[in-house]
Amino acid sequence: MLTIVGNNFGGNYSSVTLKSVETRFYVVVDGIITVVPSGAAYDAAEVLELEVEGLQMPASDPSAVYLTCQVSGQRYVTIAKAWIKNSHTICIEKVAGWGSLASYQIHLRCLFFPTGYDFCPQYLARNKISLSNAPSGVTMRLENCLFKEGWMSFYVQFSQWQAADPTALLQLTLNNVPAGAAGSLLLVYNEASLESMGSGYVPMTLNGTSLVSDEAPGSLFNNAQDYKFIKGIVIFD
Amino acid sequence: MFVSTGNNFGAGQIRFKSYQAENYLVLNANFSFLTGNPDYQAAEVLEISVPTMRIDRSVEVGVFVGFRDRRQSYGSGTCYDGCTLARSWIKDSNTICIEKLACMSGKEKLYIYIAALYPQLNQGLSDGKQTKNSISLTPLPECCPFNSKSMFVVKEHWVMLLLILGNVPGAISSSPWAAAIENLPVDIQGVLPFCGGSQQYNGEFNGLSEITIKEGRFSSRYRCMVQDGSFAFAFMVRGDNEGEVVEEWPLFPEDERIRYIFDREKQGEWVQPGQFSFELAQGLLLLSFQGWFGSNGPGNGNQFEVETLHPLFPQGRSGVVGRTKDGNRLAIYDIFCETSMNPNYGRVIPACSAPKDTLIEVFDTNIYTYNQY
Amino acid sequence: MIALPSIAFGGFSGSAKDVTARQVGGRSILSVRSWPTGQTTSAQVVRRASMSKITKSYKTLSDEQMLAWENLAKHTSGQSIFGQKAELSGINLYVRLNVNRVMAAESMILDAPESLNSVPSASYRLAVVSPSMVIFQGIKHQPLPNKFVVKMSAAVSPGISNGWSKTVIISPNAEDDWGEADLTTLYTKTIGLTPVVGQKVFIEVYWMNTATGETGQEVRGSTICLTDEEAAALVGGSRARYTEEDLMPGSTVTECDIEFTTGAPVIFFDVLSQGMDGVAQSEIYVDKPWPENSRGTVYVLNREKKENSYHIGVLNGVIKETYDHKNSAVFNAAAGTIGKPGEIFGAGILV
Repeated sequence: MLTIVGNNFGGNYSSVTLKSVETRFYVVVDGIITVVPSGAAYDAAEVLELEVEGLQMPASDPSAVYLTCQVSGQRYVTIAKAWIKNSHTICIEKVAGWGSLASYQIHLRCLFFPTGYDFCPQYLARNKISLSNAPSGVTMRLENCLFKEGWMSFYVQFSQWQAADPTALLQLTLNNVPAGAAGSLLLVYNEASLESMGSGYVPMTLNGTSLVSDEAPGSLFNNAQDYKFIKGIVIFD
Repeated sequence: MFVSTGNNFGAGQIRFKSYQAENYLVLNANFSFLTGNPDYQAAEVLEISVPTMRIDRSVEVGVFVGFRDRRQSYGSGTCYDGCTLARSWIKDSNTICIEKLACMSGKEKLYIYIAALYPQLNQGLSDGKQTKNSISLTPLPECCPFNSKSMFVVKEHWVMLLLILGNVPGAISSSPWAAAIENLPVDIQGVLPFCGGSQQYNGEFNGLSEITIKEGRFSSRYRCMVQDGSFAFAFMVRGDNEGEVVEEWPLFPEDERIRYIFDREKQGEWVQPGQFSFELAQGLLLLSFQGWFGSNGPGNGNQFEVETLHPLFPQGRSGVVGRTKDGNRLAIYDIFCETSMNPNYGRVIPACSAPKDTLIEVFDTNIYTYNQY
Repeated sequence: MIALPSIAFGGFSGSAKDVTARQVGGRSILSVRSWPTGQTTSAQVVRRASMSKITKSYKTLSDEQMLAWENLAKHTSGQSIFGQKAELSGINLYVRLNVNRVMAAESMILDAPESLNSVPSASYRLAVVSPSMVIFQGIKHQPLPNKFVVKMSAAVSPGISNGWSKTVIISPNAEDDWGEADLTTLYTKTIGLTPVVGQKVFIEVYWMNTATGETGQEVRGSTICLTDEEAAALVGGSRARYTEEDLMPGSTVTECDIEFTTGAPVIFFDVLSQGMDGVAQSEIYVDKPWPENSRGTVYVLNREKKENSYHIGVLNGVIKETYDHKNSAVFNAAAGTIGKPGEIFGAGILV
């Protein structure tokens, strides 16, 4: 667990803890904070800094964290660069165009680790998952998931996903997902009419073999022509 | 601490820690060099020129000479690094000599570890028996305690350290080791060779790993043919550490990182530009991807040929999320590395979900999984 | 002293001389009381012949070469080059440097060196002479290409105060063994007479840079010939060293150089161990006791000496006197891979 004890942009996170799994060589972090991008402190900060307790890793390479918001009923998602600056500071990039929002969420759900250290690698094969009774209009083109004890890296691409009813929840049944693998994920899609501030997304919940959206995807979801994907790091409860 | 003023075998500047007594020296230095350079080829004895030392000659002592050999083997990257001893001596007050080993002639890069006491002769009777300290570890490591012959001798200006591995339970032998050694002076630090047993590909040498001694602790990140009887034997200088940064976990030299770097400006019909690197890191085989590239459109691979195959970068796959350079739209970038050892061939086939010719910035990390074909 | 077959010498007549015969190292040695004067030693004959040849060779140099020698001579003084004040001409410098080089078994130089550096003065702590021993100790070492030149006289009456004119070169190019030089054989061969106990031997030493032929300041001394027992006591006590000569049966090493007198808290090893059949062990037995406070366990590095096999390890050697009064050092594998034969070398720590 990481406790946020301070920040440089005027946020109040006294009740926020971040789930974490830390080893000598990497840190998995999982938590969501809400940012109000206004006020002198936010304006003055070049980089958003979270002061944390409980972190041992002294530095890391950058990783991507999702930023989400809702504008006029449309959910938007983009990514910001995040990194461990020292053993008590996590930094997050300020993304252009998001400073004018009333608020947005930072999904601090990523793998932090430094590169360059001498090691001899142990290779790991992925946990192969597949669609069970794939609904019409859904094609999973590739998957590369790894389920660890207590957390997972979930990465799938869909070459097509047409919701039979975009006003209804999306539902998939997956094979070979462990029962304890559970958490929230973002299904990302791009549609031409979306504002330039980001891509669209549908919030999803994984619970073992069940992958269900938290809300209906809406019509833009079906109009999106590119590959839809989920790439997320989740620490199980 | 002093730095060399030159050498006759093409190494760069070499940094030494030293304790210089009236009639002996303790020297510590680690360095590496490429053996293909003409200076090394021409040298009969390796000579290092240094500022004037306190003694002008010594007898021959042992320094460790090693090489790296890491390969993919049975679904893992395996370390077959090897080492042996070379004789070393003080030739005059400005020259340190190291035996040039014919057995290392085929190795592209050599690593020298100097942790030796260089004595003279006919200087009067030695001190005699020294007081040894046995090794007591805190916490008791998950595996691999040192055996009862292990010990260290503490002198005012140096420490003699002998670590000999005891039983190595196979089930946890891949875990990193680290522990504090009770009463070990905290003013010694450095990376020492840890010499293991014979190995499959370099059976004429001992296996070579490294351990770090720092602040009274030892740590070791990986093992090479480590087994009962693997050892570290070193005379370590106390103090003289100013300006020296010793990482608890050793760093790769830049040219040995498990990493591919691409820098391509050309853009053709189906050839996209890109400046990016992706690198594997310890833990689970973790991938860090940093840079930008152009998309060839959904489902169309954007092939980057690997000129020099890294022996430990396996075939495999990962996915990282990127952001359009001129906006905040997201794309998924699927990295598939295809490699073959026979013939030696490698190719990275990333495929991006963004429309063709979209420039994507990536700064993401993920697991890299191994695909065996 | 005459060694059989004999080297002719003069001045020997009848019963006025005292001749004794001894066996030294399997050779019959006759010793006489005094060294006849006015005779030329073989060493002197060789030296004079070389000088003549070298002097003549100067005329074969080119004008440019001669000019270079003249220029070099102008910028140097005899004091700095040969330890003695003298005006030097080009030919003088050429001859003297080349005579020294030839004496040190180096080839002649025809081109003048770019410059000459002064050679350090010699110093030594002790010169011990007995009928069967001529040893220098405590020589202040100078690095190569400097070599130690020793001139000595035969033993003469202790009443003679100035006998340095009678010294001849015993060794033109000695390399000291960590401050020691054993010139027994060379002295015997050159002088041809055994020193007589109680008599005086005159000594001159200096360093020579064998690359250029320059010599340093000559240092003069003398010593009284001791008995063999007195000499051994004086020499033997200072260095605790064990070599092949000290090995006893049962030793499984073929080369041995172990020294405790490093002045550092370590023992020096340079040993070639053959090991034993069926036992991972190596044994050394020596015929003289180990030094005081040296019994214990020593840890030292070992490298296999075998074709295509370079394994290394650590040995632990138990140094002790056995129950049957043997001085032993028994080595067993402590770590790594101990192959045989093996080179045991470097600094060992005794605990």
